Amino acid sequence: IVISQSDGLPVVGATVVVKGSTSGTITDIDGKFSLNVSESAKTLVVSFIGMKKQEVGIKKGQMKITLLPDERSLDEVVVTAMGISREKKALGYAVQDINSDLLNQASNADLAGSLQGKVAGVQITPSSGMPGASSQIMIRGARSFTGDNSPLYVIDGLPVNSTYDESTLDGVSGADFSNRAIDIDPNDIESIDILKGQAASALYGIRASNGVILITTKSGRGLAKGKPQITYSTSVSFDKISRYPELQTMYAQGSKGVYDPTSSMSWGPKISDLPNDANYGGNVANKYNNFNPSGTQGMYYVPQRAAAGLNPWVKPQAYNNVKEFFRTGVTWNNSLNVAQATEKANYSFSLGNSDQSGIIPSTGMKRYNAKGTVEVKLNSNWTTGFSANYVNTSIDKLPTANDGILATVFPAPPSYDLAGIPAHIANNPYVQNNYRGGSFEAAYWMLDNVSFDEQTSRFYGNAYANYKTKFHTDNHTLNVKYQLGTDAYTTDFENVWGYGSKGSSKNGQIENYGWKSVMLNSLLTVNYDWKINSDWSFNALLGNEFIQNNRLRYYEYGDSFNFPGWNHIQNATSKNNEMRDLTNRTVGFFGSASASYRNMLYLTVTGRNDYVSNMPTGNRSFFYPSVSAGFVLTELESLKNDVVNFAKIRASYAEVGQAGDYFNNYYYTPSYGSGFYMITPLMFPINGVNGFKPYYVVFDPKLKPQNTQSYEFGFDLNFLDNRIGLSYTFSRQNVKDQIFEVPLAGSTGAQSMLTNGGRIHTNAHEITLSANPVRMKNFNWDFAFNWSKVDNYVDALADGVESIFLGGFATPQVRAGIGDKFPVIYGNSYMRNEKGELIVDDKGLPQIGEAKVIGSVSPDFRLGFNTSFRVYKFTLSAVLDWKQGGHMYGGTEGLLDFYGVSKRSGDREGSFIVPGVKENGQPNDIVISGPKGYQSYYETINDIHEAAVYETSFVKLRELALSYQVLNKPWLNISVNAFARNILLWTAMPDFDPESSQGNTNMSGAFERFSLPATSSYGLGLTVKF
Amino acid sequence: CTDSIMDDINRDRNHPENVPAKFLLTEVITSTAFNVTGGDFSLYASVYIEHETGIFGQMYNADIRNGEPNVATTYNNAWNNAYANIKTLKIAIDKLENDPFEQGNNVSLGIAKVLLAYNGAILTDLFGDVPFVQAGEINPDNTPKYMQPKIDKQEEVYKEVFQLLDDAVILFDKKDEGSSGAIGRNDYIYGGDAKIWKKAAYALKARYMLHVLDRSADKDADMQTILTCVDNSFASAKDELKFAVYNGSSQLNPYAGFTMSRDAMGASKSLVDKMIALNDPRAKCSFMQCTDPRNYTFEQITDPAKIETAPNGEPVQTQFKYSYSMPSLAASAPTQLMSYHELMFIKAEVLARKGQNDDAYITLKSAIEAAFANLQNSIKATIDYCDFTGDADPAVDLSKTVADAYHTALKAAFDTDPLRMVMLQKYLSFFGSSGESVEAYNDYRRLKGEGKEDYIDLKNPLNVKEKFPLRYGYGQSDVSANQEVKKAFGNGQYVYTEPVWWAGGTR
Repeated sequence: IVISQSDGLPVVGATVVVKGSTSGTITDIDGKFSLNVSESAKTLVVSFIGMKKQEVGIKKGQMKITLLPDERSLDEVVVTAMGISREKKALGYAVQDINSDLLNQASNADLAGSLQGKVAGVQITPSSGMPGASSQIMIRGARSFTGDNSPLYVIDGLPVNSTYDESTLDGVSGADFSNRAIDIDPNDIESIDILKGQAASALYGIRASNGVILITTKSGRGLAKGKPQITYSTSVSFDKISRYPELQTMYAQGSKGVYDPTSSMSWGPKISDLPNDANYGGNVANKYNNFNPSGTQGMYYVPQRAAAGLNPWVKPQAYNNVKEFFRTGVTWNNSLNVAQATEKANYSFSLGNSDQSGIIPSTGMKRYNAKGTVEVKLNSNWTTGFSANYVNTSIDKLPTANDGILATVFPAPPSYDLAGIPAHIANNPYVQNNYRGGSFEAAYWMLDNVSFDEQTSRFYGNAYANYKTKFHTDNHTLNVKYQLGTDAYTTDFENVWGYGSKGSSKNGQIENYGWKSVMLNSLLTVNYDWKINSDWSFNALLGNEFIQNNRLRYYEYGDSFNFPGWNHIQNATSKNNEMRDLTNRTVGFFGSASASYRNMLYLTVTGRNDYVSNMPTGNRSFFYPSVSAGFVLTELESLKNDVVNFAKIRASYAEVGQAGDYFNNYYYTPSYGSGFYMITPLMFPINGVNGFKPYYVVFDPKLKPQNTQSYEFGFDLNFLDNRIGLSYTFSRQNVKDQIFEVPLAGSTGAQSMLTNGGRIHTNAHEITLSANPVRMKNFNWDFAFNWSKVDNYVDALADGVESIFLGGFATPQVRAGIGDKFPVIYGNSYMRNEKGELIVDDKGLPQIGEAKVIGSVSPDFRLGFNTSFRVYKFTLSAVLDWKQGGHMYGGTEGLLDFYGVSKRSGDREGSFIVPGVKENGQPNDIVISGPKGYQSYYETINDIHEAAVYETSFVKLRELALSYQVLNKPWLNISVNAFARNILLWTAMPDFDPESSQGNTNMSGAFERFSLPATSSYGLGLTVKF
Repeated sequence: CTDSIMDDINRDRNHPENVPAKFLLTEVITSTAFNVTGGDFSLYASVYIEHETGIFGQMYNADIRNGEPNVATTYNNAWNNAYANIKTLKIAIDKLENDPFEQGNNVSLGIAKVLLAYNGAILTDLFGDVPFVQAGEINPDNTPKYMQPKIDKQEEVYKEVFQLLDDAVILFDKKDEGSSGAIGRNDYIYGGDAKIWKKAAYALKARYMLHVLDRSADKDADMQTILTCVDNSFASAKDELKFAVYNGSSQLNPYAGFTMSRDAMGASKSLVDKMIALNDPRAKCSFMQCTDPRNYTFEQITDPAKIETAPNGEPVQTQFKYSYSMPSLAASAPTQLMSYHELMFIKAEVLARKGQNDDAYITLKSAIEAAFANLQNSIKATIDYCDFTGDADPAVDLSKTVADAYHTALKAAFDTDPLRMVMLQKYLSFFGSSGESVEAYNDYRRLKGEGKEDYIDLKNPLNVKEKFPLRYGYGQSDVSANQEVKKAFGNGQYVYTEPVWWAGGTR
């Protein structure tokens, strides 16, 4: 019997030849063959398209030959919608698959991170380098303005939740919320197939308009039959901030050249001149040295040192507060897997653990994974099995942006000893001692008194039974599978601003909240294969899917702790709570029919009808069709040649939709406050009574699902013995009737209406080029390019709506605007004349112009390059990622100039003229000079948001890994590797890594403001197999 | 799965689809006080009218007239909140009039009408012609009946306002008798006491008749009506229409919450100078200096010469340098929707306008006494709320004795120009944390319409460069989604050139 390693199924039609002879046969429909051979024959050669040729010694009696997939070939088998394995050449649309080796070559514990640079047409936007940070995965652009654009994750046939439960909303306060894809352990993944287009995913219906990530985990299937295989791998990596901003070390805290020990600015005198300061200098008689400077020569007085009980007189020096604040993060990954395949069954059990400490003290992540997969063949017809996963993830985060921890780290004056002066006053840990005033918390105080944590316990898995019959024929196969799965988790969040906080309510506040989510999925599929004759074959699939989600959110808020030291809800003096209980159900019926002619022409049509509960009565049923075709040109006799081994053209069309979350219009209890308040100044109940008002979002009872129509064309070419592969795909998506909260005129009394409105279209070009120029026993080199250009344009919004707010402030903000690429940055621009020259004021300073689009977030293109270079037992692999174009609002970048801590702003002794014209149209000749001039210049442009918009092009060495196979014996296999990740080679941004930004929503990648930084990692790993 | 099963699955268990009207009124009372009276409208008015100087961020921009007064985002939140109130009130009125379960709750209906008049009036006072009749109207499925409510002339809005108040006065003679129960403690202001609500309705009518007095066909008769309304209104400060639930910890006066969050206001130079010129006792107890911004501690300034005032229109944009007005952190001070001192000032103004100067002076005295008491209460709230350092404990004495000495000393000035002194004292009495700067702003614009703006001599140098905002610019949400409003808003510069109708403009 000949079976395939990739799916464990028999290989039909494999060629079996006696080596050195012409005698041979081909395998039958069960992969079986029998051959009478002469005594002298020693070896069989077994081959099949898409598999590696294998030579085996001849044995008497039964032989079992397992063929390995040949990854160079386009005849490889891929998993498509509903878990159906298909030859890649039979598909009428693009899919891309990634195997375990490529995925895990740099030991990244985060799935999204380990996909970066490896797939065309997929944009992965990390929010930061912090453990557990959210990242957004978007396939071929966005379909929804404000809703979810992330793909559906299907793990071993079960759709699971991968998105965030808690949105970061405007993205200008609080901490990030991770998405649930963080629960997946990349170590346990066998392969990933990415269904990019809607035609590929149409069978999943209403959930699949954003594409599908199909994950197959390790199952023991395809292992050599016999003893269990145990694999242990471990790695340790060291994380550091990927980029430190360049800071000045010359000037002290203060403003306009004058030292001020509580100023937020570093526009003071030279640090070396501090002893001469009239008020605080030790060389001068003043009240701090009792008007006797003899004992304080060369020193100056620091009130914060006095407050902390230290000697207030110090010699001036420059501190590198930023470097001292960050630490080296350490990540340990461990995974243990036991897998075995026998005649009747295969199984795989794994335990995994990832323990990370972040580069900011007190942040980190711990994740524990346990999984078991068992598959048992009961008899020739029946197979049954299950897959069960348990995950426990806990993440310690810290807030960003306006109330962020870095808001007093990056801007800390170089003259101030941030790490050395205690962040609280002497004898009272709850009174902060900060370098500046205002509602900003002292960074080191926050480490001890502010915490943002989340913890998730999750189970997901499924059990199934499969019945297969051939009706005692050779040409008909019927396969009926029923699968019942669940994805159940609870996530608990706790945000604490401890007693003594400033930005929060007086004496601190606490929020405890979380989700309980239980998804039930029942899936029945009936698959029928009919090999009609030697030219034609036919496949049909019918199925039913039932999905029910029960979700419950609790929330409790408390503030003003009675006494310090116990930051607990039971110590809060005023409390508030709420509960939300949500249920939704989707019932889908689907079918597909495929026909193929001579391995040359392939045609598939699918249809799915979904009934969803979360839409209004009468608008709950939707039908989605798709059709796709592939034509293998090289099967035509006239086109067969030695240079081009394989050429295919493909085309598809599909429609898929997305439902909204409709409710009957309702009342709610609001709380009071606005963007002006950093607190909730007023909330119900008051005097024991609650008030109610109509919810500010109105639901449209005529809501219909939004619809995505997609066209896709492409070709695949293989050259030179399949050593070079080239694929190109163009796709066009037209999304209409988008569901979003259309902003209303306030005079309607409501803020927005959940309705249909707006159109967006996407043109996506994807090119993948793979090559294997050297293929020898001890020397192999292959590489691949993934190039994508995804252009996403907003064509229309609802009547009277010109833009939709995605995040940020009133200005600057991230928004979707008609005619603009999605999304854009909107804010104050420079005042310019018609020629585009800056118009300066009478002091020669730039002026605020109109508010308009000041940056476009999407890149012009992305290029990923990965390569693997094996010499003898060494393998060197690398992934390089190039993003060209795109902008970001770099809040921190601009503020460092404003505060006078950046290296740029340290260059303040000279003079310059702002290029531009004066109000009268004459060229500007007003000279800005000296520290005061520079300070007013940076103060002025701080209000011009355009000045803080930066291009975000970058080239990153995502992964660099060197592995060495220490031992490779059948009974023991040991390999070691060294790796590095996210080494930034070049970027257009002056000081920061452009992959750190605010928001886990569609604003991600667009808006930075004291965001937690991205990291670079360096590590070592060991894998032992026996 | 039938639709009925799906309906049941999708039923929102977490929110009511129907709520008794009195709970809607609870919310509107709160939102009106917090969002409309005490919120952003009042913050910006306090800058324009120089009760405070905006020294940071948006308030600084408002002070130097850089963008804020003429851009649509500035008042958007408060604009939206006022219209949300209008929508809720229209729903409540519809329930109280037509729902058998709610019918007969006359007091509740009267309160709803008073609040609708109040929200409509503040919108038209600030924005001129505004959507009102079509605003907040809904279809049976609760979607907006008018997606782009049309603009009503200010004169028309005022007609509606008076009609609503007149209706309310009649309703307040009846009781809450509907099945859904009396409003009782759902009314945070008067606990459902119809008699006092009737007084409040009269007080508001007096205020609004005074607003449109310069457009009156028969001023004498209207002035007489105003005096009658005042007589039917509050007997003392005990009756005034105020929202007094702030406890200074979990529930904060909106101005105090703002100052705590933003530190964006400094002591107004023009206000302090006026007080010093009058030897006003308020100058000795109403200001404080932040002694340590890191720990938010303050020192009261008892010598007015030592107040670090922020020059109006040209402050340096910096925090913690200028002195604070003490009421700006009065966390537990109530919000005045209509105060007793305002009522007395209205009476004093009308009497002065009628030439009944002796009566006007007597009324002015009680107005000043009541205003002092109100400010004293606010300053005490600040003393409770903030940490103070320095040699002396903070103190406030604005008792009747102090007030008496003060208005006695003013008598001579009053006699030279009674109306001028009444208006100046009214202006000074609206300084504080009660959310009364909008009324000061209305008075100033009314005087400006009469050519008497020098009665309240504002000092922002930009005012003479045609940069005094004569009105507020429409909210962003309507400017982008309501074509008629968008057109009326234009580039927003009209706020500097066009007074509202009752101040002599056309719209």
